[in-house]
Amino acid sequence: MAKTVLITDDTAFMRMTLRNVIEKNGYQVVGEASDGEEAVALYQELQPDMVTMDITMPKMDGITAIKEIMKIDPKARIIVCSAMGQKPMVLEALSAGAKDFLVKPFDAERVVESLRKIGS
Amino acid sequence: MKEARLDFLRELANIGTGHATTALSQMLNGRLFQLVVPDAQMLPFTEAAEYMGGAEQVVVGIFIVISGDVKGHMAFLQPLESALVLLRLLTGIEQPELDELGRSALQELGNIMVTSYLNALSTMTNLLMVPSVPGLAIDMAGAVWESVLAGAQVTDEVTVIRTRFSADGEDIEGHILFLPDHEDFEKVARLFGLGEL
Amino acid sequence: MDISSFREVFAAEARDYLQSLNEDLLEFERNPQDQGTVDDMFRAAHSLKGMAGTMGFDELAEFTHEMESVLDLLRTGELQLTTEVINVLFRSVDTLELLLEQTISEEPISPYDEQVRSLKALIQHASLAPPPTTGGEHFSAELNEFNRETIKQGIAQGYQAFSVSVVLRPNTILKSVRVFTVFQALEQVATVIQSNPPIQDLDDEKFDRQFVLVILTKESAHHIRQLVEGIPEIESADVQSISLAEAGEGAEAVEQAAEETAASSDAAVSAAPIRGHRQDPLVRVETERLDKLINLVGELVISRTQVIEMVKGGEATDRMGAVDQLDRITTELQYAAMSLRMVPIKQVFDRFPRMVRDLAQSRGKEINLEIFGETTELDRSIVNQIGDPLVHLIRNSIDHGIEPKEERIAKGKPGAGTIRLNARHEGSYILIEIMDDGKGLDVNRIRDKAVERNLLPEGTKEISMGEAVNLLFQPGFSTAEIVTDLSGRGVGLDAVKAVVESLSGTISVESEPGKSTRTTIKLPLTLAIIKALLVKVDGETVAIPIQAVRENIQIESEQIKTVQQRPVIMLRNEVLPLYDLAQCLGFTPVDTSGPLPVIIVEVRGSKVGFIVEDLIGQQEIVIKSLSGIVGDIKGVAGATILGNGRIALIIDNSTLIG
Repeated sequence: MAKTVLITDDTAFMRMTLRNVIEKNGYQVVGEASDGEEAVALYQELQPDMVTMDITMPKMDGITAIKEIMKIDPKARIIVCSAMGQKPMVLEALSAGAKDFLVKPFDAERVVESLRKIGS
Repeated sequence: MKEARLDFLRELANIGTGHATTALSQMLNGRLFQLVVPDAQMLPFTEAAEYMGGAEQVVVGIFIVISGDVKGHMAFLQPLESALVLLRLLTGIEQPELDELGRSALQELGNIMVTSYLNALSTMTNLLMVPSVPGLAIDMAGAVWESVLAGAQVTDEVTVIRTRFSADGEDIEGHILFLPDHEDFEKVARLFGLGEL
Repeated sequence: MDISSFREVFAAEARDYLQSLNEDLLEFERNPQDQGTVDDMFRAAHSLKGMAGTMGFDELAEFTHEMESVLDLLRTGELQLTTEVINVLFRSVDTLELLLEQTISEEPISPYDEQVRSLKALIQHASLAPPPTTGGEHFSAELNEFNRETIKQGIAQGYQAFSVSVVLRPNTILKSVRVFTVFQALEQVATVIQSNPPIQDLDDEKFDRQFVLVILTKESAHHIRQLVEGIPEIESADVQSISLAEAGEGAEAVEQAAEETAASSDAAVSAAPIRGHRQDPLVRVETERLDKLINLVGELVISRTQVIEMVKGGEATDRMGAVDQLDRITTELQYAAMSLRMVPIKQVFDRFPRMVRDLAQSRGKEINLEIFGETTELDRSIVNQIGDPLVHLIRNSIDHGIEPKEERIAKGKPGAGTIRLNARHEGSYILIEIMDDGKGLDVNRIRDKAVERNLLPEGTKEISMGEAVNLLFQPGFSTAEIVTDLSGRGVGLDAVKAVVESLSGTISVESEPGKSTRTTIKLPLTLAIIKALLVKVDGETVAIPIQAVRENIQIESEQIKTVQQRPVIMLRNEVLPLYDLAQCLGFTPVDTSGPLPVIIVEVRGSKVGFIVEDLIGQQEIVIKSLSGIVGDIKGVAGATILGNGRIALIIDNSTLIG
């Protein structure tokens, strides 16, 4: 059975781009969240194998969302996908429990590598 | 004094814009080339809109508020035609429209550009610069200009960085505005060994 | 900082690098097998090149680049060390020194082509030589003694030691963060005991794509490899077992080496487990980073207090061991962090010899300045503020203390006066003494002046030395008739006292009339963490810096008397004004029925009683300044966060009452 992924990004365009890459490589996108709050709610509802997480988002930012999701499920596999490539922020996301980080713009192969390595 | 400040801003612009352009080019699978070295201008508030093509021109503006160690405002403004060219390259749609997806793509593109710019400055200075969720405005330059500057600590002059790219044989123009709050600008300047600017 | 002082910083740092290049070359000539030395030299040259490039010193950058290339070849073993190579390198350092000084002083640069040619010749020579047989192997973590011992113990306890050589993919973004993910993954199943390059270099991204970690684990090599290679952007992970024999043999070899360089080994042994080959005696640190570290330590101290309170609340005595440990570590960390802020007082003292010379000359006096304890360290922020008060005191000694030469000789004193400046530590305080062998305090003259200034009632006859000294520090009392050129502000001793007190310090003066005056300033070593007495006021906790507290007493409301419509209390025949601390801070006044705790606090030299609701106890507190919106509040020096997470105001005793 294909591994399931929840996409979190505040722009529809990025969600679409990610969905294309993820589905083309044999994973199943089970949901799209456009902010941190939605991601936390959808995580609880859908229990996906992996989550992609933007950092800069309205309502609840990605780092808070990571912390919330880790509270619900300490085994959650979250991959940060954000343009924000500044060390302190990325370290904060990883310390909060994210397993990998990608800095936008990224290429499809890098996304796939992350899904493959983090998903196994 | 003004010259030193401008020089310094030019240097920041070079580095920041360099990274932003690389990011943009990557998004377009390498189909984008920078044409000229970015040109920083320090202009009186009223002339800045003129410099960017006049207050009447329709532009696409993406703007963010910066928080963290350095606070301020930042924006990426483009003439509508340039934005449409980028959108075509980005989505592969021949006649792109400014529907929800189109706007979202432009927003993401602007977001990645300005964030890459900030990432580069952050790496260089070890100061955290956190971008807010980007706002998008498509309107006459004058109006967009006002949304960008809402809340910015604008004194009498603003610094505009003009960049020109070429993608798929077409000329693309864009303006990056970096408006750090005065005291934070001093902080950055000090890190580079420059005193009062 | 303007550009020229930036240039100075560059010059200082560049000279350091040149100095260490010289030393390393000497060491390398003696001991060519030491990979560490050549690595150090390479790094020094590399850093120098980068700095010169940043400053736009092209000639320096170009020349250092050639040197770096040669050192790189030596480092990788592609170039064999010969006398010729050493000589060329020594000459190159000389050339570099000349280039540096000429660049700094903006003199014309002497030609250096010939030296570049000899460096290039070495590079050429290396490329003709056969490739080294040991290619690649040089990149391993050379174990230090401490870690060999750790490994031996680990193996004895059933762990395995591995060296894990990790290669990142080309163009990995945020390499340091990627390294962090490797550490994070490994630390789930292993203990990382050493890294090459050292962890600081990894963090600063001072490495290319490869780094080596030495770990202790119970997992298999295969598993470790899978684990690391399962991290995105890792190209490969090579896991090699480190045997007990290697660890043992190595240790002996190191011991031998240690004997040879006995002087440097002390420093190495006391260092942290993960570290580089060489400990630099000096580190340049950005003050912002320091402040952050101090802040973190502050948070840690708060959390320690929280833990202690939590454990005290329960009965789990066995947890006390863990808490003791936390207590010990945080205390050590606190001191270590504080030490980063400490700077020698020399920075302030250094300007005095010239000042005393100039002033003495203009006053037509002969004065010798003796300085002791200039290496005594204290908090950077205190050093920055103590300069002006010291200038004032020294100026006082010159103007009013030391007599003119003829007068001294007439009194049978040596013609040249002496001012002695002495700094020393005493407990958690630093004492700064300014002593002169001048005419001392003239008690009668002070009395007359005080009467003249309405500080003493008309007709006052005898005053004691203590009273005289107190008068000196009164606002409005200044025996200096002229505003001197030095400070130009004509500040009185009261201003000096105010600065000292704002730094939570005290100032005292002793004098032997006709012979000497000694002013002693006592300052805490640091301002970030202080000992305070916590009291309760209107239900809120308030902290009073301990050095301001004289004593605590308990009184009955009947003991409160009124003098000139002001409440006072009698304490051992002294009349002390009495205030309600709650009222001073704008809280609801205390209920004065029943027994009242009173804290006797020193306010601008005199004792004052403050009624409080309750005493809580002594505690170390971390000062957080009230910034921005709140701004300066009279009587409040800052705030601190207590163990229970609540905020307590810290009293500024010097401005509490007006």
